[in-house]
Amino acid sequence: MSTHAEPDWAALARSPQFRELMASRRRFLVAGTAFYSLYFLAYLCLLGFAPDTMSKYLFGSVTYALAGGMSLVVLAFVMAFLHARKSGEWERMAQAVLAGAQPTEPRFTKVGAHEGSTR
Amino acid sequence: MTTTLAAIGDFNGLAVAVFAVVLATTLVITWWAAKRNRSATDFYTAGRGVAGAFNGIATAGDYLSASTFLGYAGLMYLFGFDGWIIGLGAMLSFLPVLYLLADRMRNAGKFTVADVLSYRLRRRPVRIAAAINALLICGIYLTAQLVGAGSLIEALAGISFTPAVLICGIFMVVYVVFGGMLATTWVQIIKAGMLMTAGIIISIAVLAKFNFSPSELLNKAAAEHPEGKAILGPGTYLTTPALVISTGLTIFIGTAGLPHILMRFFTVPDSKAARVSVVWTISIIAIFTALVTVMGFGARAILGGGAEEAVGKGGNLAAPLLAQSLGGGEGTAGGDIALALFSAAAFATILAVVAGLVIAASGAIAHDLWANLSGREDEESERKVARIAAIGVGVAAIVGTLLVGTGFNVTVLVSMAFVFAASANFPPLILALTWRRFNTTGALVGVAFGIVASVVMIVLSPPVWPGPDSQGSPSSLTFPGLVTIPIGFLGCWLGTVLGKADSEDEASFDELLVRSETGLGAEGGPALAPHARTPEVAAPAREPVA
Repeated sequence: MSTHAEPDWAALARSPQFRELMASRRRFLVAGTAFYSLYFLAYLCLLGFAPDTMSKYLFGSVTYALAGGMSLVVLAFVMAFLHARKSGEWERMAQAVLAGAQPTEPRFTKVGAHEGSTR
Repeated sequence: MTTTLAAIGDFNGLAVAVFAVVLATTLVITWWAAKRNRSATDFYTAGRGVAGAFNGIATAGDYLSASTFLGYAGLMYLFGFDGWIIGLGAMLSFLPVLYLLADRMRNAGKFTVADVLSYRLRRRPVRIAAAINALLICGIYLTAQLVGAGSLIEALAGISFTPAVLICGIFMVVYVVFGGMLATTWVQIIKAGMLMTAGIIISIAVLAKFNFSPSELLNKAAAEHPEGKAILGPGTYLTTPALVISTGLTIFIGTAGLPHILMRFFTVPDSKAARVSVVWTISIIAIFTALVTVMGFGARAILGGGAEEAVGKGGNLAAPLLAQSLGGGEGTAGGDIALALFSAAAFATILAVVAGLVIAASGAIAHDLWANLSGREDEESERKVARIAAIGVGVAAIVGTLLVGTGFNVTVLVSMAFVFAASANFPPLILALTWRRFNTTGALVGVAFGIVASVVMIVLSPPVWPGPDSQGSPSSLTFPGLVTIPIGFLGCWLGTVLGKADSEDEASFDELLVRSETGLGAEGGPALAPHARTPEVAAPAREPVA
């Protein structure tokens, strides 16, 4: 196994292409996760702390609680769609990272930092 | 409108016949899959050949267990709106799976969650900790599913509890041992199709009865409930703010930490397919979550308050009874056929979900414990050990289920599985992927804190303390994630800052980061070379299987 070269992970992690990928991913994923998590948390808090308001009718016999739940269903679709739209970009950026990472050795097989060591 | 439901629980020849058809179909799938089950990669991951869309449907199938499909409709029948909150949390939990885990897991992992951790942490201790988590979660969840399955089959087909559990248990072991992940995946896909078809037909039939007017349906449901219009808003079941928030959060985070769901992302060819999977999963589950309101309120509106006893303690039989009623009612041919078909879908659900759990548990034993501790690294031996482990897990689960029997509160078991997943499994995984300073001590302390806090809070909760389902317990939280999830994260943080700095753990963060973000070095990933320790076994291209 040791005949195979190991990519220089630290150098790859410092490469500008990788930093660009990370920055783009982090921006989108952190913002997205914060948004849907806080949306859900706010909804739960409204249910818990303002049950009377949430039991009022938005239209017909549909309460704010029910309509809010349906808005979560829509939220799930929208967040999944936004992620899918963005991920094509990340695929191209990951390709760019790897293009700069082709090693001089033919193929590399992984012997992980710990997997192959004697720790 | 009242229905007499004496037929439920009697021997039901039609339902048994339909069950037999389901079993025969799954055996054909298993036979087909067995011919393609040659290596550990095949066993755990279906040879990484499952297309994204199919894996997405199968993942939705993993989520749509009997306790979700039947349980949510039942809870809504019993409590109205409040019964929906758990379902909403579970649906949304696939967003963190998509945003934070799916593609990274596929890029960095091989067979189990512990693979991801062991890139940068000391592999022996973290693998043991992760295996304990996986066995705890899967073992408890498996027992809960089998207890539920036994009672359900008893009610629907009239086969008594012990033989019902034995049938389910034996078939799940057969799927896993012979067909591995490929058989389990296809059983899951077929079952998800059956359930969604059943859900859509029932929902349309319910809405048609109320002129497709939501208000008309809701008014009738409220009129049939002793609490009246209160069931259309919050507060009938989760009565305090802490209960609402804790229950919602436990399910939201817990579903994203279930090993058998995370394991599904190792079955697809690459990270792109992993992302496509989750989008499919979310679409299916979102549709289901909307439909379940129609089924839940529909069951209340159509079956009426008179069915409260017939639907059982958790309301699990509300949906099947609704199907029977829509088909023409008890005693009519249409009603019997509708009940039998619906029961078949429920039966298929149970079989598929328990099989997925057995694979995850045998992965923990064979891959994380056996291969790790023995140092044996060839796929062929590992596949053998995994199959033996699957038999062991199956037998243990069957014996455990028959011992606890129907007397055990299934809710406690399900709650425990989700609380462990949320508090002990999710925090170290997410921190390993995102926090450079995170180290082995942090992971171990986090797992220990998460498990201990979960056990303590569950013991102090109403279903357990001071006696079964009693008043006056010190904690009101049946799903105590609000307390235990922060404790799990706190343990990870404390262990990390108090443990001695581990330069190798930190240095290898770069490796995990690059692997998880780009797929470099992953099997089937862009760099082509598998990260397997035994490339000569794993590397040959295999025929596409799905």
